[in-house]
Amino acid sequence: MALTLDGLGYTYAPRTEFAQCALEGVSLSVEVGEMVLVLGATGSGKSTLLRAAAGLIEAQSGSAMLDGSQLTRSSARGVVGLVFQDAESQLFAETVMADVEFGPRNLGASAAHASESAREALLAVGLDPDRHGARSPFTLSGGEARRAAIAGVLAMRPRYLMLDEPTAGLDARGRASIRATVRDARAHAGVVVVSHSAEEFLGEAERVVVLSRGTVAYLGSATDLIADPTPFAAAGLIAPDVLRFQMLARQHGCDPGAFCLDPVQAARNVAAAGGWGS
Amino acid sequence: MLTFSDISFSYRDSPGADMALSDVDLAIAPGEEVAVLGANGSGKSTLARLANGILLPRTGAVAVDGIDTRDEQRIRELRGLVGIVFQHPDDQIVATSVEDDVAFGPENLGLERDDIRRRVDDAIAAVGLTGLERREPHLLSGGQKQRLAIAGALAMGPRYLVLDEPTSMLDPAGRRGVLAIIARLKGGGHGILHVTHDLADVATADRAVVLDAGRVAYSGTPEGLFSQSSLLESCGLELPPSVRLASALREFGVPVPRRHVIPETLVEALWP
Repeated sequence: MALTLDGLGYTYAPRTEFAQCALEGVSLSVEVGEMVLVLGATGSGKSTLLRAAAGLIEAQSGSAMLDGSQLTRSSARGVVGLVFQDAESQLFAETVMADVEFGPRNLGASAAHASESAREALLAVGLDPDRHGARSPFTLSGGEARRAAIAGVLAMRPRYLMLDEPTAGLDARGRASIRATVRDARAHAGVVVVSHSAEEFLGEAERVVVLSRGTVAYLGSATDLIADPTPFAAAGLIAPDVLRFQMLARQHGCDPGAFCLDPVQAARNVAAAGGWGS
Repeated sequence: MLTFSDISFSYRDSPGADMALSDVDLAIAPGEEVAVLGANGSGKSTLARLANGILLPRTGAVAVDGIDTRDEQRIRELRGLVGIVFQHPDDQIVATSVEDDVAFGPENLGLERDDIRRRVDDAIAAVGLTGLERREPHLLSGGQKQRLAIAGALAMGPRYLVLDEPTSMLDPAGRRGVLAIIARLKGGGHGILHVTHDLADVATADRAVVLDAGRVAYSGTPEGLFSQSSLLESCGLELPPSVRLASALREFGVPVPRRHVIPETLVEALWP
């Protein structure tokens, strides 16, 4: 069971003077239970890739397969869930519960079934169906509203979950709760997270795709990218602070050994390599 | 001075209503950067909106260079002294080119053409957007848009700038650019009230103030704050990896200078 994009190409407004190539030869695959992190600067094609993976746009070249058959808008329906950036701005119903039930109802679920799925989804994102469910979405805090929006997608029980910048603009508690939600979602789904900040999910993803101007600048394991973070700069991105410090230390002749994301471990390694403390 | 004297504020009028801010005392001098931190809902954006009279305190007083924000006669003068920039750059852009957007405020003041031109050019230069005057704002990156919003505020000639989470929607490169502009404006004598939930943003502030449920939970140096992990946790804040790295290095005996949290400056200090 996998969602596989192979050699995808997409141009906005093709064959017009406004034609703009957003993706070229991009490949990506995600299996149920794993997390793929897509990194890239603004305008690198991240959101276009996510829309293609969710079947919202059809690539002009390459192939898109969903569990062995062609990925289309209708085959993706209910199977691939997409959480847009600023998803909470799309909450619309009078109560949180009604908002989360909307997805399954729209897919044809009975009222009872939709309500059950919605309760389950709210619990999965750490919201109490009884306490938060009856409230207006507009009275939720930023982090709660973002989680309610994710619940609205989870309630459709997608096998693949796509999230566009899920932690942007949230405070520490909000970000931690989203990370936990995304981690838990892997029990039933393959997860693709798009982000401009590597720090948030690099430690949790199995694989990473780095996009640069619509092409793949890196495709490989998160471990390999941590060991050699040079693709960040090559794609016009800033590597996480802790990795950048270790790279710079090595350049100055103070080799901390294998790079790591943990700041305390990195500090220990650099201190030892530089002969400090001891 | 921009002063908040023992202010309280509630969005509802009824007695016993939830207070968004209680007993907050704070002063910002020209050339000084005060960072206001707090989790979502801590009252920090409310504080920003009290700075130039968008909101008025229930009790206590807010004053800008001696002008009380309740003084309706002088509200224009007061708004000219305090510029505000919000979190979402897209919400603050009104025109179809960078220069028209920056000119919008000064034009509304009814200034002479030459004066407007000079203000617009100076403001665009101050945020590093020179050369992009004719660019359509929607073609700018997030960081450039936020710098455009700052230029729009600067063109009004303020002495104080209130920045409400100016970096929270930006990628690391955009964030770095906005922080550099803030440092430069502070050096140029602007008083800065910098509202944020990211502790990495405040290492170079003169003072850090933490709000928790509308009350001041900490007021002091940023370094002092970085060492109070239980306070940070109870206020819903977290130390970013760069700050944890710098303090861990210090613990392991590496001579890391105070206030250095950016890897490049850390490395320059260690291997000059």
